[in-house]
Amino acid sequence: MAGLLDEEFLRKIDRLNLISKRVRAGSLKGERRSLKRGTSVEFADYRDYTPGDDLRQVDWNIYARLERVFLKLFEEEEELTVHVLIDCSRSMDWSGPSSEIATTVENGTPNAQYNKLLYAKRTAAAISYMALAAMDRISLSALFSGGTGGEARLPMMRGKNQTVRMIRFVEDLKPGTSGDLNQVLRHYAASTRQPGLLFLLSDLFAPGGCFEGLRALQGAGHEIALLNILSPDEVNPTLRGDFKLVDSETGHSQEVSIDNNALELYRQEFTNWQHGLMDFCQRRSINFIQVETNTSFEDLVLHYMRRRGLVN
Amino acid sequence: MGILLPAALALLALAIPIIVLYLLKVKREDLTVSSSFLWQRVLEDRQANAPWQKLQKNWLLLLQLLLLLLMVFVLSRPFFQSEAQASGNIIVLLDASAGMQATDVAPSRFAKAKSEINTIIDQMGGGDQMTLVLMRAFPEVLATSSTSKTELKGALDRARVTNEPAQPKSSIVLAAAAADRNPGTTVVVVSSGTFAREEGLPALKAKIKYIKIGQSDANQAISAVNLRETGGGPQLFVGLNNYSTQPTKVTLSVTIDNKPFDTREVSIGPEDKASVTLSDLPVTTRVVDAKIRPAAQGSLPDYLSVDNEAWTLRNAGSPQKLLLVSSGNTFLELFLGRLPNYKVGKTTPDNYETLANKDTYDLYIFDGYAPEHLPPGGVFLINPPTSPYLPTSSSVNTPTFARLEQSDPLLRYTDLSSVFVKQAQQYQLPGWMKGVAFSSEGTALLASGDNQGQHVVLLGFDTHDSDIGLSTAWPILMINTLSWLQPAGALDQVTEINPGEPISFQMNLTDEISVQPPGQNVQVLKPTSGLASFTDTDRTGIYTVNRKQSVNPNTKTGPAQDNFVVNLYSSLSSNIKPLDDLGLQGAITSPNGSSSKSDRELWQPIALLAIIILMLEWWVFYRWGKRRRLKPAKPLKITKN
Repeated sequence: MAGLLDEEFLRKIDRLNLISKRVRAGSLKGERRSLKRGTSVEFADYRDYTPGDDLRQVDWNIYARLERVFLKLFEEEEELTVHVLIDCSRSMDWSGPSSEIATTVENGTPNAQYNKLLYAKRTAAAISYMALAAMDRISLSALFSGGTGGEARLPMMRGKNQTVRMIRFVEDLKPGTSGDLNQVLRHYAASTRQPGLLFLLSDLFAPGGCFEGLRALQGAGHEIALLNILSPDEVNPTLRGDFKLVDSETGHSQEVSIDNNALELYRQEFTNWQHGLMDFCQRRSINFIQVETNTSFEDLVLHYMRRRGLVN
Repeated sequence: MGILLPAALALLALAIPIIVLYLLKVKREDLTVSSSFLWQRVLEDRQANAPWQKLQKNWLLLLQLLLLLLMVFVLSRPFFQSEAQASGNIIVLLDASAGMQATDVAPSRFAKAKSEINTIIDQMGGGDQMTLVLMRAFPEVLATSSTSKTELKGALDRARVTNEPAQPKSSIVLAAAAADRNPGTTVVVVSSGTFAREEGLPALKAKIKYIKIGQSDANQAISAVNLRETGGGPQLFVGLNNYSTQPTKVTLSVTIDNKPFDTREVSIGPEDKASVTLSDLPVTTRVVDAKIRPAAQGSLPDYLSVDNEAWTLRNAGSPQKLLLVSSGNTFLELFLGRLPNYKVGKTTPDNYETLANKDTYDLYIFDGYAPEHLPPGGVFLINPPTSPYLPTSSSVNTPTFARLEQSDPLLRYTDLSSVFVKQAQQYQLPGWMKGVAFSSEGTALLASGDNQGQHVVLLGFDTHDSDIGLSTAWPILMINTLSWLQPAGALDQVTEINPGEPISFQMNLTDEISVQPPGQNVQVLKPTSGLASFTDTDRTGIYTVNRKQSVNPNTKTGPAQDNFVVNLYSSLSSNIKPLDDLGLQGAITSPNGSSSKSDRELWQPIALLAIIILMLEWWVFYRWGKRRRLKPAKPLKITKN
């Protein structure tokens, strides 16, 4: 467990709960307070009796005092289903530029701690731990994982005793190949029966985009939190010179001379892409967080996600 | 526009390997990126650049090609033909005589001449060379066969106009010799041309380009200021010249010993002379200063000022002590009685030897007497009896003045040929004496000599046996004789010179002579071989000469002060009317105003541009290399939706 999350951090997030704007009805009663009125012991409100109501819920003391029939309402406690999708495509297995130049010049050495997949795995583990600790149901899935590039899914689980299993699953995730993100998300939307709070951790570097898949997930009733994990050199590349640019996913290479103009074009392209994502998420009420891997992981969970209303 | 070395253009082919070197595939580093997803559009643009567009945007390549182009252009020696006053081997004669001070062209003719030469220097092409000569009495070579415009302009800047009269001969001889050595030489004469009025100028076999400076002839000058002694005192003669073709009036002001004496207006006809004679000058007159200026009305402008003032001196030096040893001579006494500036003492031959202070005189006249030993100072012996130093052999009856050395200072302005002599002594002249006037038999009737600095004059007959005392030649002969006998004062005879003319002084090694030019500091002269020369006489005015002499047993003089004046009396310089044609002999004259073509090479500015391009290329390379390095990552950027 220490590989992904240390004990001290676990203690910090032990009492944190994941927040969903719409708690989803599960088959089991959970420990999460619901907006629905139900059968828990927590008093919630009174309302007038209407024919057909359960007479066991009538507050007879009030009736004796006021000679009016009121129903005593109690809060309903529901469980939350949390879905965590980790993009394990090869582009996620990225720590920084691998060029000889990049490794020789100052600040150019790739830092393994900045690996996007590692960052995603630690974030997923933290989210999953918080869900398990809160007795929420958690479903972990790895997209494009392993040698086949298929989807690896951990069956739905609940309870803190599943922590080791969850951690082991996350730790064992390997980068796979690339694929159509839309298709994978659509498939996931179709295959899940219990919608819930869905975290998608990805760099979103998908030639076909991800909007269609996100729409499908929303259509299936998921509340989406999109964590866009990027490396600093992807946000603001600084290399100049004549290079053979190699795509880590496809292996396709292309000779290019990167100069100021090329960098300026890239930054422009990145900004457009970023704005497109933000606009889409805003329109679709998707909680969108873009984070660079040089950001402290603890800051992301303890501060930024809390500030964005995903945990409390 | 053309190029002198077209073959150099073949070097432009070097552009091909340069471009090929840029087109050759560079060994590229593999740069793995997480995904080329975002790079795709960028890569599309970059791919479209290859290979030619890539070349287009490669600043280093462009700069290197530009550099190559410029260097090849320099090597091909581009030039363009421009109009030039002269080309090839050029000798510029710049007139620096006083006439070039005329201000009829602003600011002056000399400044205008320098400006014209500056233009010629600017027009010089790569193969042109120039020798710059300042035309003075002694030509001053400012630059020799120089191709450097900077050097030539520096030399020209140092050129100064003088007060000297135009003396072109030596400069023309110099230019002719230089032109002989380099056939095809162009001699550019920058002058008003007034010097060409001088006759007998040497031939100048060269292509001559005459640049005429000046446009007016309006000038009036003082041509002479002379004093002469009359019975009523000194008399002043002032000669004036109007060189203009228009009549004019000038105001003449005469100052005597720094006191205004006379001011009057004088009318002078066109190209005419006028003279003013002033009498009744003070007996004590020493220095006369005459000035002219255009009269208030009816006058022409006067463009040359240096000839508007002149000075003259009277009897330079302190009064001379003269001893007349005679038994009685009416002619001598009458003459000496009227002689100013002399203190005359008289004695008889009998009393001479016993005279107490007989050795304190400056001059001695022994009439019919020969002392045992010649006293120190100038000695005039008239019909002396035989003596050890001047023995007589016989006498000659009624000799006539047959042979006269007219060039001798004693005979200046005199004519003794009609003088009657009844009887003359025939002397055996010592080696240091020479005859000045001889009888038909060869007897020296008048002789002079310099015995170790002591001047001695001998008149070989008794004045009472001749009508010389009654002739007009007598006072002139006496003045000439006394002037020559006068012990060497600060000056040796000369009291007036032209500007720039050297003046020399005889002096012993122990003497010290200093000269103070007008308005300047005293200059102490250093003697060379018994002579000291003073050459800094460019300023017109009164120069003061001080001599501190050692005691000489023959001349016995102490400290002496004297003056000499420098006046510009030169019609060549004062007649400022510019000539249209120099008319020099032997000249291959080019028409005035015509110009030749000069090939002006352009390599210097192009080479300078190439150096700038080279520096720019280095800067671009440096900046490009620097930007290849990674910059530190920016701080976290969290984007909110």
